[in-house]
Amino acid sequence: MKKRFKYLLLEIASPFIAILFAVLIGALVMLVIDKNPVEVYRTMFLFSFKRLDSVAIILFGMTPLIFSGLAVAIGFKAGLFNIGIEGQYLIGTFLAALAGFALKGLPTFIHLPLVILMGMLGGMLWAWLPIYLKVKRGVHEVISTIMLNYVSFSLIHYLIADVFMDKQQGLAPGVGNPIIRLPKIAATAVMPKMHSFLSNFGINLPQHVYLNWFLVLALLMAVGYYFLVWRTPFGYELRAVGHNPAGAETAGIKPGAVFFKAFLLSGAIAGLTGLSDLLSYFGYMDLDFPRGYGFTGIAVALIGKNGPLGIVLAAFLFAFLNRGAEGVQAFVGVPMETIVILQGVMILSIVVFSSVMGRYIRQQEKKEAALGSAAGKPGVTVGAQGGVK
Amino acid sequence: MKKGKKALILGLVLLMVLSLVVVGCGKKEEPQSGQTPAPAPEKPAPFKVGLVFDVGGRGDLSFNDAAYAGLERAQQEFGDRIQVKYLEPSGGGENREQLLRLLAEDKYDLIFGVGFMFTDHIAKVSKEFPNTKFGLIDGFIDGLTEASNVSALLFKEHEGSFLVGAAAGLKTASDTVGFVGGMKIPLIEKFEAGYIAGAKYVNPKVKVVSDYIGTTGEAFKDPVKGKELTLKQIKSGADIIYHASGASGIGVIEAVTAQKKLAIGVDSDQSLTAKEEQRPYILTSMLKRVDEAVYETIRVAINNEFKGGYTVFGVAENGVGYATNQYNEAMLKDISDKLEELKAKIISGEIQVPADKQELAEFEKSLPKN
Amino acid sequence: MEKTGAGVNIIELRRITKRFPGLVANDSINLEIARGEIHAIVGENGAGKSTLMKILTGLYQPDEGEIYLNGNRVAINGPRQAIWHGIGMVHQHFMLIPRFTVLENIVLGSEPARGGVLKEKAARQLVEELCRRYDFRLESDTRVWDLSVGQQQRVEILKVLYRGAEILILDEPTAVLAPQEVKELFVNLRNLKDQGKTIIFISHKLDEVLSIADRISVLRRGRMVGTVLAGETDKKRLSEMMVGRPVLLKIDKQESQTGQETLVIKDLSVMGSMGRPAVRHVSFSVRAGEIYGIAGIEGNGQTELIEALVGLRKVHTGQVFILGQPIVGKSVREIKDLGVGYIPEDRHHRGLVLPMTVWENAVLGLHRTREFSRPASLYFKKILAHAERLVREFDVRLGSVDLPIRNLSGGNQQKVILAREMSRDPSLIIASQPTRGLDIGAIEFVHKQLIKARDQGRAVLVVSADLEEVLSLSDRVGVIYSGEIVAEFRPQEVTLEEIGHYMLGSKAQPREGVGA
Repeated sequence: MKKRFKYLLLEIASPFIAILFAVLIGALVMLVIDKNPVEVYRTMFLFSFKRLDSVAIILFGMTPLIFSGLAVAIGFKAGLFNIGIEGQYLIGTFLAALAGFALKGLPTFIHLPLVILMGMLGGMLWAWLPIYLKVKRGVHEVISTIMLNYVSFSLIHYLIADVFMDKQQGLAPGVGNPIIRLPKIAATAVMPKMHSFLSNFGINLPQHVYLNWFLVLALLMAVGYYFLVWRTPFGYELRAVGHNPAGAETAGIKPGAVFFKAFLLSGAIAGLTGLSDLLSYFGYMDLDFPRGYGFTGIAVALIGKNGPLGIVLAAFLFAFLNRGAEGVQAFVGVPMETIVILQGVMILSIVVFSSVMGRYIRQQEKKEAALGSAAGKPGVTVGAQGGVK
Repeated sequence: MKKGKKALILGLVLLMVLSLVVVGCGKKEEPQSGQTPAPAPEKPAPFKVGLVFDVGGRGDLSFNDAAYAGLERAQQEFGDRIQVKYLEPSGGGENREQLLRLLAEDKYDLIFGVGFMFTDHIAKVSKEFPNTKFGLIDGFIDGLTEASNVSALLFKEHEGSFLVGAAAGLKTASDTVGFVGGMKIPLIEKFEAGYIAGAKYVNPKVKVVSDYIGTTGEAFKDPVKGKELTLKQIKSGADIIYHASGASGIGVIEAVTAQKKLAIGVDSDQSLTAKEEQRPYILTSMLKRVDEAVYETIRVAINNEFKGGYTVFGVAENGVGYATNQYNEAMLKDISDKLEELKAKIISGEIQVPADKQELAEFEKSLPKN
Repeated sequence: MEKTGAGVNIIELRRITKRFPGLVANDSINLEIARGEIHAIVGENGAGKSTLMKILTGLYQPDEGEIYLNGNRVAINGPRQAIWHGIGMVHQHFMLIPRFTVLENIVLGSEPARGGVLKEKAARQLVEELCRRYDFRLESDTRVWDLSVGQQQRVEILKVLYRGAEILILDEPTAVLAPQEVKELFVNLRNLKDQGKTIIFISHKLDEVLSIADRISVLRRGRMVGTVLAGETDKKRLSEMMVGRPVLLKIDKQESQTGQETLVIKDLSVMGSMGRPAVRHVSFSVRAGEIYGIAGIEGNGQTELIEALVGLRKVHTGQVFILGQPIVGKSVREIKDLGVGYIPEDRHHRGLVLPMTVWENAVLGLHRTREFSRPASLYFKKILAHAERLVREFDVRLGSVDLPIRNLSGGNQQKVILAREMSRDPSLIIASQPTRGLDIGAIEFVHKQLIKARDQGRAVLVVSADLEEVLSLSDRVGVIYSGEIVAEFRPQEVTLEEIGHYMLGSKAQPREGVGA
């Protein structure tokens, strides 16, 4: 088993090497724009980790990315490329917001779960059409999800600006612009923050951070994802279909059915993406509701290699980069673009490094297998003889 | 193959060593704080002005740039007396509030939020930092008073649009003019309403075709779509096209130049930022003096005269208007008297420019019919 | 020595070595090809034949060693250069454009043209001259889609000749041909040889090699075992050279003890992918305890027939019964649960999930059984034990059951499939091309397992493009041509010749004789 461990180590090491590489490229960029990279990175770290509010903000920032990363990953596992997370979470957020403001008088323990369910339902709804089209009509999900993203943008715009817009905002006649938003959600639909819970442990978060229980839900979801994909027969089918639908079909698995379930599940998880912001930060959905979580989720899943721990770590990395960017913008004057470059290089190099590493590992495995079949006796698991060189 | 692998491993090792050096260097420079070096102690502390752009930041040749121009002008004017810093939110815009707060924490005296998206955030942060002054551009917070630490800087874009609409109505040969809006939101519809009112006021026969680029923030940075819509409008007869679409307007100007029609710019004087060959095709621009608003706010704040509440910039306050410059002088010559007359009428209140669709409908009813 | 050698040897390879990561594909190989000979190169899969030929045609560069052409040392940097040196390759998979004519296909890529205008007349003359000289009967204006497989192969050979090849390399040229077509090919090859061309013939079919080649070189695991004169060796010795140990060539089997009809097919028609009927009105049955073989040239509906039987393809009309149960309209899982073991023709595409581990593949299709899982969880311990047991019982050589199955050799992968399907204790085994691409040892093993299954009273349906295999394995054989079973007989009742006629569609048994 020594060898397996070595591969695992290599596989874990590769993203870190890639991050270092990206850090170096970023340093070059900073030198070009006349900033001291050492100071920039130091500020980034100190600002992000020495301040309690920064840590909480990073944790808050990673919450939606865990959801969207998991949603992408579950699609990937089934061999489906769900680019539609973006649209799915907007629709999910909208339905949740609708249930949040339209339903009144419910107790929190009913209202809040209901709102969360509505979010998942919205994501699922928006995932249903592309997967239906794929399974029944052979329409590639990449095309249909991209298109539905655009549809969702316009639909959301219409629903918010023209149908449900909150007209009760106080405005002076003729001047000022209303925020184009839905009415605020009821207090019973607000997700509580973690402040009071954490204060039990002597951690007193400042009021201006919005860290809430969705983080815990996201982490639980990651654990659930692990069990589902690697421990259940459904997860087994998911992976088999993902790697080789024809092979799975021959084994009596119905790829279409697996695609359907996986994609709806992906949509449901995607529907949770916007809820942390909606239910504990903004309290309403406006036209400017944060965008891009879906696309970042693709990068998160890619970097996290579709593994639950990887996704959580990758989400953390992105949230850290965002918070760090605020710090270096404010204190060292590094423009936002530099951080965007850093993120881009990081994604690219992680992808390249991990594919190089993956190929190396496959070669090693092949060698080992060759060794096994040449020297090994039939049926003996030769992994233990790994010491042979 | 072997060589390649060796080179790869060598490269990796090199990388790691290098990065260790970088990290190592970082540790040596220990305790300095991460902030920019403090100014020499004998001078009085400068007045610190912070500004948070909206998503997209500088370089949009429009709203954000105009705000930056105001900041720059103040910096030139006041030199050492002020210290400025500007920040840009991340792509999704979810950290506007944190950026405002960072500036406030860093003891900035006056902080701007560029755009009405900052409304709620400034409302929140201004309560947390009662000693810091805030300037909110385009946003409306209920219940501000002179004593508040927030000044909402508001523009009557419809009034400026009325004037350029009148220019278009007077200049059109085909009796058809166009409007290209960015994102379909009330703010932009205000531009549209004023424009249509102006055109119809001076030319009852005129027809206005309107299009919007999109439904997301992207609509303000999509020159390709801007160009397409413009060409479409030209095809349907429009010969003068007004855009209120931020950086998408670049495409509008390109299209009219190619078709030898006229465009009307927005926010800043776009004749000045356009390419040489495009200038003859820019009739004028609707000026929205965000730069003026930013500069003015800084000026009064430095002089300790900052007042909270609402500052409205209309035609009367010279906050909105139409642009004249050496490039369009000749084009506007025959109508400038008429435009000035309309301006006076707006200032005197004789003309009440409509600010939305409803008001526009009533306004059109009140026009004499022929 | 070298000087004289240069006169005789058109090609000399000296100490050619080619390494791939984790593998030496060619290990210091010496090879001399004499001008005007037919030189066969034989070896098992993975012995290094294709690598060697790719070096000769410039697709690979050797890591070490030298290539001499006519005594001069050369470097071959690509296919273009190879053809410039007079080396042309006829690929196993044809690279023809079906809707183009013979002429167009031949000149494609090296059209004689002046100023961008095709000189069609010149091209036609040249091609027809070639046909005449080598006695290739081909109409230059026929479209390729109207040609038989054998004729298409001739077009491929002409393509190479047209480009001026002196040395022709043929990669497994008989794999796709019926016996008659093989004969014709050999006539053509001898003609070429008589006209002074040199032919390198790659194959693993020893009978053919012995009948056509002048000399035979044997490769084993990347090494050159030796070169022998065809007249001085025999099949047994050659196969020993190939495998490195004595090989049992004949399949040992007892008379079959047949029982009830396990699989009954009645008037079955199945549509192909293009919407045309691929299987037409097929009827036959397979009894418990017998092996029923389906012979035929590939692409005559075998794939569609088998896929319909296991539920992967829709039945158009007709009935199929397994153990008396109608299966039309049932799902793959339902059919397999009736007691069907299925060995698909393409094990990478259909039989396995390559990136998944050996143990995961060992329960593919069995993963939902109560033995191995509940909806909430897989039983890892039981699955692992199951996998280890299969590996032991079927002699699968591997490093670890925990590694992706793609690392195993083809033979070992096939063993896993066989073991898995057998572990269902099936009443009916459907095996499609069960030994394709396997080495001799693995082929032996698979054959033994299929016969053992028969002897245990299971019904076995075997489809193979390898006629010899079908004949030696089966108790009864059906010949499929153009989607129809055109003949049915016991292997010992017919000659190869006769089967060839059926396979080519030039002969058919009267309908009532078939499937009765």
